[in-house]
Amino acid sequence: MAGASRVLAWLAGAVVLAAPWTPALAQEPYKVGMTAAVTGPAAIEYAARVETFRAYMSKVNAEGGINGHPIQVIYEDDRGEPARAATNAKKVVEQERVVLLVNTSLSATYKPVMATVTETKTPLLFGGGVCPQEVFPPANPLMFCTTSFAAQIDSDFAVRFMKEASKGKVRLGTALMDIPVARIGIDTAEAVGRKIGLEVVGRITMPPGTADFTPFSSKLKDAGANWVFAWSPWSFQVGPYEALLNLGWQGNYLLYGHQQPIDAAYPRLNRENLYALVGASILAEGLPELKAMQETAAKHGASRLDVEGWVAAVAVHEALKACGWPCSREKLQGAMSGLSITVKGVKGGPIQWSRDNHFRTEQWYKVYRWDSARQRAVTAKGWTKVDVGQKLKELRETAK
Amino acid sequence: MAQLLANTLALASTYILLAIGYVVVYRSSRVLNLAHGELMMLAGYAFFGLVSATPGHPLWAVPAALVVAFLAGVAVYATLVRPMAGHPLFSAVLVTVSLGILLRGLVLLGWTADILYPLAVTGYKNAPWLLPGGAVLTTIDLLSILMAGTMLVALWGFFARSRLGIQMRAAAENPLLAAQRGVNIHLVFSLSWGISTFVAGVAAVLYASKVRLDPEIGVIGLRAFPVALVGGLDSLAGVLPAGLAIALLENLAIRYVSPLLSDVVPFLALLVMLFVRPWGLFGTKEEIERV
Repeated sequence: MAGASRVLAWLAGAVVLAAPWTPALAQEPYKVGMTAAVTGPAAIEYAARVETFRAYMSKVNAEGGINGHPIQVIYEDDRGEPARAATNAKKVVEQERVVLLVNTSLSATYKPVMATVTETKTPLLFGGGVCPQEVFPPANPLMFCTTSFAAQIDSDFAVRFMKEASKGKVRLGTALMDIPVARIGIDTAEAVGRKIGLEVVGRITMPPGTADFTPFSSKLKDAGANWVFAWSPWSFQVGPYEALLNLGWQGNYLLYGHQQPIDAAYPRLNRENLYALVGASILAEGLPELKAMQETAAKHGASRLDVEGWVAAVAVHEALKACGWPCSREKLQGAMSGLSITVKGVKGGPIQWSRDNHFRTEQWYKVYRWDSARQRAVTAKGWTKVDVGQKLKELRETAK
Repeated sequence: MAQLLANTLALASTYILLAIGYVVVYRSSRVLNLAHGELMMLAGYAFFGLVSATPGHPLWAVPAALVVAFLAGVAVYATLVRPMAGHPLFSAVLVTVSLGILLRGLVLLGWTADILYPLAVTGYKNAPWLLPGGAVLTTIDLLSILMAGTMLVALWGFFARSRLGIQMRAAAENPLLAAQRGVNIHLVFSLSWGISTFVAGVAAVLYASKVRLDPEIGVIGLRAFPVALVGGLDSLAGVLPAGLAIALLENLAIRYVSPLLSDVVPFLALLVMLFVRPWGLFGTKEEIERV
């Protein structure tokens, strides 16, 4: 009995001593919800983003949270399915009363999630999935995006780069998976390509269940494409390229370089005709900032670093800091509307949101290619700024 | 034109290897194995695991992965299908559906959803070869065509000539009578499941080496299902023309009609066949009643 009293006394003492050093644990948390494609076909791209996001949040909380308030993220898996995403959104917004919802999933999940946040006036961040129309000017006041890729602006930059990088005539072939956002991107590439004098020789649209890319790629090869541009989920960008290589095609291929897979693909393929357009740096370049991020992510339990996940997490952190305490949905929305997010080494410039532009006022691009002699990715075109408002006006004109 | 034919042969070989699995299992146990694609995927991951575990010895990994695939088939029969004996066949089919979902989940847990490239681990290259007429096929395409042909001939010989093969046909025809005549029907059935997953393993090794490996490649198994049905579910001979016809139709659709049709062509072919000849090209007429 005496022993038990001594143990209780020790425990009580330990609690009293520990209390001043663990304020974050005692404070009420910032509650954030996330619906993400952690499993299902789209998990190939999204699972790593969620893992990195989780690691960053763990780092923030380990460092004491925001002024002592930890960030509590409620993660829900939607498998990239609209119905599950709708249920997840309702659950975290209505039951958990989160101040912010993050969507890291397929664009198919956007509509039901948007409906829920609109109804409840909850800010929504697209962090790692393609940026929807609603974040571009004139932006929906509740919706924001940190993702680096955006179908139309990417495609415009891509075809201009091809023209710039080619000495002779560009005979453009395009490749896409049959999903709406990829169609928008490729339509833009072809329209802008024609406008700037490229010859569009062929397009391959591949259904989601494609087993073998060779019959599709043969069509592009036979059409005489000397440049091919692909904008789609990763498998449908790299698949046609590898099939073209197998067919002995000698042209140049430009795709959107999602950081995780392009980092793995470059050394594996070891080809100099593969160009990657990016909005965020890749690890293969060996930048010290990214190495430091990789170490931090690993320290907090992530098996790999996904830059898009990291940037989304930084944005959530910065937004909550700007919101202060107590943080309401309305206050957070106001804070996010003027937010500037800088992730050094990852992007060419900050992600700056304004009242009517929740994509960013400036988009920065870089193009890589693989240097097989040096066995590393090298810059084919350095960070280049695109004025988003101006570019969108131009693209609207082109579409007319 | 030459490339179109080359592409057809390459695609048909994958379909044929997978369709063989459906037919072998159906012939013996009358079960439609709807987890066939996932079992193929599992063999692909076994191959990747073995290749990664034995760097520098990739050629050991192929037979080892095929042994794993064979044993997986036997294990599925012993643990899931055999206990369903006496129940309606439909129950066994549902068990295979559940197995497919379970395998996908397990693979996701074990390897995540990352795309893997076993060939890159081996250090081998899938070199292209220029064929007469200007068509190009890669080493793996050629191996795939060779393996599809070899498997068809070998299994035909096995079923027609070997004692065990004849016992398997007998067990398929009338399990009760075969058992009364001393045929160990459970051995025969488990062997057929093993053969089915072994051939799926061949398809997995080749496909993962040529294209990629991820938890979604099991879907290809579903695309090969119409090939088995069009050929005739109980006919190994039907697999060859059905595989070639469906692959040709798919390639023609991609080139001359719309690439988007490629996804539905196998199922359109199946629908047409069901209207015209429901038991398939070389299937047995009475079999359709059992299906």
